[in-house]
Amino acid sequence: MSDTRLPRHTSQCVDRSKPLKFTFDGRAVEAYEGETIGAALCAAGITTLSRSFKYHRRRGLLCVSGRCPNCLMTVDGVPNVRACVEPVRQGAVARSQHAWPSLERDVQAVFDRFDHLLPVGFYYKTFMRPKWLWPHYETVLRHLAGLGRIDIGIESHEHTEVVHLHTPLAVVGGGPAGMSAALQAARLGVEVILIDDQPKLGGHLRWHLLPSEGGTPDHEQAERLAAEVREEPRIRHLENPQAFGFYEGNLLGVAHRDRLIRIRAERVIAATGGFEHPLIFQNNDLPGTFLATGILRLIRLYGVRPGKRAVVAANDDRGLRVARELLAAGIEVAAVADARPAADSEHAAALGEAGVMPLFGCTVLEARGRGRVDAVRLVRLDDSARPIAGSEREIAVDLLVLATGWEPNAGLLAQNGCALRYREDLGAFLPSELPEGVFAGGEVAGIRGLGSILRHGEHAGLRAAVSLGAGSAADRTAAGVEPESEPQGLVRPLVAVSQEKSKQFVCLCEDVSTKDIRTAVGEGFDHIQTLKRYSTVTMGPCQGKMCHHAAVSLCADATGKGFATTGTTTARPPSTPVPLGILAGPAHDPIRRTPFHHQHEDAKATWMDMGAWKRPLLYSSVEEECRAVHERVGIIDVSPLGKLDIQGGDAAAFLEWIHPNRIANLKQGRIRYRLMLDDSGIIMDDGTIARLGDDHFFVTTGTGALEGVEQWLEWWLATGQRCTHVTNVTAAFGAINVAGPRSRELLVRLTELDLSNQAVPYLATASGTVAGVPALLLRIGFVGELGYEIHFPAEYGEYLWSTLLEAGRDLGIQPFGVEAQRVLRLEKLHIIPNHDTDALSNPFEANMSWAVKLDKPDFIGRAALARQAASPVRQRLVGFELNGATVPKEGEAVVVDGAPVGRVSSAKWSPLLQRAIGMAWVPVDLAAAGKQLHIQSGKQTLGARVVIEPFYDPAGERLKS
Amino acid sequence: MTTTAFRPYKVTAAYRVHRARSATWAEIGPWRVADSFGDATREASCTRQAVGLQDVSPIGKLDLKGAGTGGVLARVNDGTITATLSIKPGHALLLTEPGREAGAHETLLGMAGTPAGCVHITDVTSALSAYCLVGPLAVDVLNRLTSLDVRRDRFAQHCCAPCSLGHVHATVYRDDWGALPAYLVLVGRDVGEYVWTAMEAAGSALGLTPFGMAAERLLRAVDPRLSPVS
Repeated sequence: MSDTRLPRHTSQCVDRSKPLKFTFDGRAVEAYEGETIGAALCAAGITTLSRSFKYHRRRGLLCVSGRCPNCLMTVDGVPNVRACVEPVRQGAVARSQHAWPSLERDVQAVFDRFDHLLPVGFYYKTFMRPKWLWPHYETVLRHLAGLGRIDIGIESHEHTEVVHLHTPLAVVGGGPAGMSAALQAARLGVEVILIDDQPKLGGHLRWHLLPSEGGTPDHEQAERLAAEVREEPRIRHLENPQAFGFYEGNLLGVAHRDRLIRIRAERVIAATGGFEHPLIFQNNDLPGTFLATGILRLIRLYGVRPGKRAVVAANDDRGLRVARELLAAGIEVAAVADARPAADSEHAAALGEAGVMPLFGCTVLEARGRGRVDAVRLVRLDDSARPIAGSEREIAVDLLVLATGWEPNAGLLAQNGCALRYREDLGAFLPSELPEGVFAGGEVAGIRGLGSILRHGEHAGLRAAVSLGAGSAADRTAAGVEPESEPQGLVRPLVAVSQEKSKQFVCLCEDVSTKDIRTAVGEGFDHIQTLKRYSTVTMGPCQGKMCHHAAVSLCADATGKGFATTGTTTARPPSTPVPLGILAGPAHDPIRRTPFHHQHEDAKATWMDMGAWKRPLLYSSVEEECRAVHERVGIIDVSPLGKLDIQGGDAAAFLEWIHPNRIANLKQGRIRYRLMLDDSGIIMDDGTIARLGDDHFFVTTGTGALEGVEQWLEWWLATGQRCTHVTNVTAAFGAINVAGPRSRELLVRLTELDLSNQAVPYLATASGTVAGVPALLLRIGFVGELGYEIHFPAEYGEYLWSTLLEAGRDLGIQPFGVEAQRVLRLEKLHIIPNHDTDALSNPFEANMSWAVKLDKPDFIGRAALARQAASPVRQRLVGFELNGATVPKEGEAVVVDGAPVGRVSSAKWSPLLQRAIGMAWVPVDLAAAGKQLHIQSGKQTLGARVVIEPFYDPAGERLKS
Repeated sequence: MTTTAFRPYKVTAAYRVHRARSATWAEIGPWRVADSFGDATREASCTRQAVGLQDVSPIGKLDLKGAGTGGVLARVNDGTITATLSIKPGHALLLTEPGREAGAHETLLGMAGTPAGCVHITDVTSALSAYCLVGPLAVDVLNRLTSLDVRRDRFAQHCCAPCSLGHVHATVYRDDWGALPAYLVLVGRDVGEYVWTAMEAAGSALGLTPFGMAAERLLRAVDPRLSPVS
C-alpha cells in the first residue's frame, strides 16, 4: 500500500478488494471500487487537476464535495464532470480540459503574467476597435474562453425521463437534522420523501471519527440513524439525487442521474446543512490547499492521505477539531492558526496534550510553492483583524487546511422566497421568514452541535407533521416550544487577510480577485447585484458557493455599507449544475395520425408535418396525381381538417352572428362556404358548414386553425346563456375526398345512395353507408373537379381506404397528396387562409366581398368591415401566370422599378397548364387582368401576367357536373 | 360488387402497434381487439405483480353538454352505462359497454326531450382512444407522464380529472379492478398511437406489459370485477 492510502476503516466507502483502472490524460491510474476519480488521482500523487478559467493557474482538489470548480474535467466524453464526486468506473477515460498543449505545460498560463491587460470587465472596454477586427477577436476569445467542450460527434444514448411525485412532506438533506426530522414526522404517521445528494445517509457525521458527544463516534451515529430511516416504512429515501430548484407551490426540482423528479410537497423541510468557503490570502488557489471538510472526506470516506504535514487555519472550534482529526489520521499538524484571540475548548486542550499549541490571533497570509503548497506564511492579527507587520512566520508544509468560513446552505430556501438575514455572531446569512409550509432544520438554520442539530431537526419534523394535522394535542403543544440549543462557540468571521497586490482569488470559477472587486466598486458597480453582473463573481459553475460570502464582504468593506445593507445576490435555480438533457426531459413529441396513416406508410408516401399532424405530401409524382384527379378519380386523406359538431336551439342564430355570410337560412341537407373574421374584420379561417338538422350543424375548419376556432366559439359562448354546444369531433371522423370526373362512378359501386346531380347537387349533403360504413357525404370541390368528401367513424379508416382503392382500381384510382392538392386548388384560385392571407388581410382585399353581407344587422367584424368598405382598397390578392418556367418562392417580392410593392403568397408549376401559376398581393392599380408584374426571385426578375378568373374551369361546370 | 357484400371492421388507433407486437385478435362486434400478445398467463401475472396496459378503445363514449346534464344524469338508470365521468358542471362523459353506445344515445335523447333543460349528446366513441392501466405500479407509470396527483388517497375510486399526459390533453378516471389499482386514460384518437407507445416507454423500466382480453379473463377469474371492455 502506498503511503497516500490509509489503513481500512469502517467509515470508508471504498472496497479495496476490487481494484479498478482508468486513465487521466493518457496516464493509467489505479483505484478501488467506491472511490471517486478525484480521490484516486490524489492517491496517485496527481495534484493539478485543472487550469483556471482566465489565468490558467493550476488548480487542485479543494472542497471534495462537488461544489468548487477545481476538479472539472471531461470523463468519457462528458465535459465539466466534477472529479471529486464522480465514481471511478473500470476503463474510464478522464481528460483535463481548458489547457494546451498539456495540463502540466499550459502555454496559456502566460496570461497570469499579463493580468494587467485583462482587468475586470475588460470585455466591455477592449477588443472593440477597429470594428472590422471584431469577428477575429470573437473567434480567438471564444476559443480561449469557456470550460469543457461538448463533443457533438458523440451520440448520447442516455434515456432521460421526468417523474412527478406528490408527498405530504419532503425533507431535503440526509444529515442528522434531515434524518431526525423525517423520522419524527414518519412516527407521527406522515409519509415522507427524503432527498439526500450523498451516496449514503449521514451528512457531515460520515467524515468525523471523533465523537461529538456521548462517546459514540459521529460516523457510527450516522449509521444508527440511517438504519432507523431504512426501517421506517413511511420514509421513501431517494438516494444520491440533487435538489436543484425550489419553486412556488412547494415544487422541488430534483436531478437523479438521467431523471428529473418534480416533487410537489404539501410541506418541505430544508435540512441542507452548511458548507465551507475558502479564506482569501495570497495564492489561495495553490494545489495542496483544502477546505477542512474536503480533506476529512478524502481521509474518512476514501482512506486517502493527501499530504504529510499541515497547517490548519481556523476561526472557531471546528478548526481545532479538524486538527485533531488530522492527527488521528497520521498527518503531522505543524501549526493551528486560530484567528480568535483565545479559546477554551476540549479541542484546544486535546491539541495541547498532543503537543500542538494553537496559535491564537493568527491566520494565513500566503501560500507558497511551485505547482503545490510547500510552505505557508502565517501572520498575527490586530484587534481589527488586520495583519501586524513584522509578525510573519513561514512554516514548511505540504498541506494547508482551511476551517475559516462556514455558511448555511440556504440557496434552495432563498429560491422559494425566504429572506436571508446576516448574523454578526456567526458571520453568515441565515434564513428568516420562511414561506408558508416550509421549515428549516439543523445547521441551515444556524444551529451548531450535534445534540442541538438533532433536537432542531426533530422539532422541524414535529412542526411539519402537526401542520398536516398529524400528532396528538401534546404534540401540538410541543410544536410550539422551540428546542434548547447549545451555546454557539466563539467565531471570528474572517474573509480577506492581506491587502497586498498579488493575486488573491475571490471567485475561483471566473478568476475574480480582490483587486477586481475593488476596481469594479471604484468604477461605480457598488451594488452587489451590479457588481455581480460586471465582475461575473458568483456567476460561475459553483454559483457563488465558494465566493458569494467573500464578494458581499468585500463589497460591504469597499462601500462602507456593512453586510446587512449590502445584502445578497438573488438565488435562482439551478443551485447545482444540471444536464440540459434532464431539463428537456424525454422526447415526448406528440404525433397526430390520421386513420390511414399506416396505409400511407405502406404506399411509401413522402411525409409533411402540418402542426403535429403527419400528412402525405406525395405518393408518386405531382404530374401523375394531378392527371388522375383531372381525368379519372383521386382520393386524398383530409382527416386533419378540423371538424366541429355544433348543436342547440340557438346554434343557427349563433353561427349567423359569428360569420359575415348568411348561415341561418341554410336549408337542412345543404352546405355553405364559411368565412370567419375577427373583430377587426381580419380573415381568421374558412371552411364549410353543413346543416344536419334544425339545431345541428357540422362545421369544418382549416387544419391548423381548429384549436383557435374552437376557442373562439367557446369564448363567445361563455359570454351569454345561449343554448349552443360545440364538440370537437376532428378525431372521431376519418375524411376522404374522392375527386375527379369518375368519382361518382366509383361511389355508386359502394353505396345505395342516389348520388345523381339531381339528388345530391353541388353543396348538398347525403347520409348513408359507403361500403357498409355509416358516412356523411359532402359534395364540395376544393380541387376543382366533381368531388365528395366522405366523413365516417375513424375506426373504419383502414377498411374504407383499402376498399375504395380496390373498388376504383379499374377506374385508374390514384391517391394524391398535399402537393398535388395545392396545385389543383391554385388552378382554381382557391385561397388558403393564413397561407395566402396574413394578420392584416380583410375579405375585400382578398376578393371575397361576396362572402360579406353588410346588410346583416350584426356579425363579428361588421363594424370594422363597414368602415373598410367606405375606404379605398389599397391592395388585392390576384392570380398570376409566369412568362417563363421558373417558379418563384412563396414570400418573394413583387417589384416596381426594383422596389417591393407586394409579395407572392403561393406559386406552383401546373402540369395541366404547363406553366408556373400563383397568387400574389399587389397594389390595386396592378390588380387587373393582363397587367404585367415583375417578381424578384433571388437575383432573377421574372415577368408575370395578372389573372383574375380561375385558370381551370372558371365557370365551375366540372365541379357541378 | 353489391353493397350487401361488405364486411366493414373497426380497428383502434394502436391497432398497428398491437399487430407489430404479434397480437392475436378477438372480435367484439365489428371491432378487432387484441386477445393476447403471445402469452396471456404471463400478461395476467405481470399485470397482477407490476402493471399491464390494455387497449379498451371500443367502449362506448357519450358526451353530454348543457345546463340540464345534471338532471339527466340523476335520472339515468340504463344498465348499459358503466361509468359517469363528470368533467365539469354541465359536461359529462358516459361510458357504455362496446356497441351499446347507440342504444344508450337513444335512451338519453328520450330523457333529454323531457323537461330537463338544455342537454345535447354527441357520440364520441370514435373520437377517443381508451387505455386501461392496471396493476400495483400503475401510479408509477402515470407519474412518468403527468403531473396529476393520482395517489390512491388523493384520487379516489371513480374520480376523474383532465390533465396533460405526455404533452397531450387526456382525461384520467380511476376504476380499480377489485384490489388491483386501475386507471382509464382517455385521449384523442388522433394521438392514440402516440400515447400508447409513450405509456409503453414510460412503463418499460417498471415491467409494463400490454395485455389482451384473454389475460383479462384470467384476471377476472381471480377477481370477478369486470373491466369496461368486458
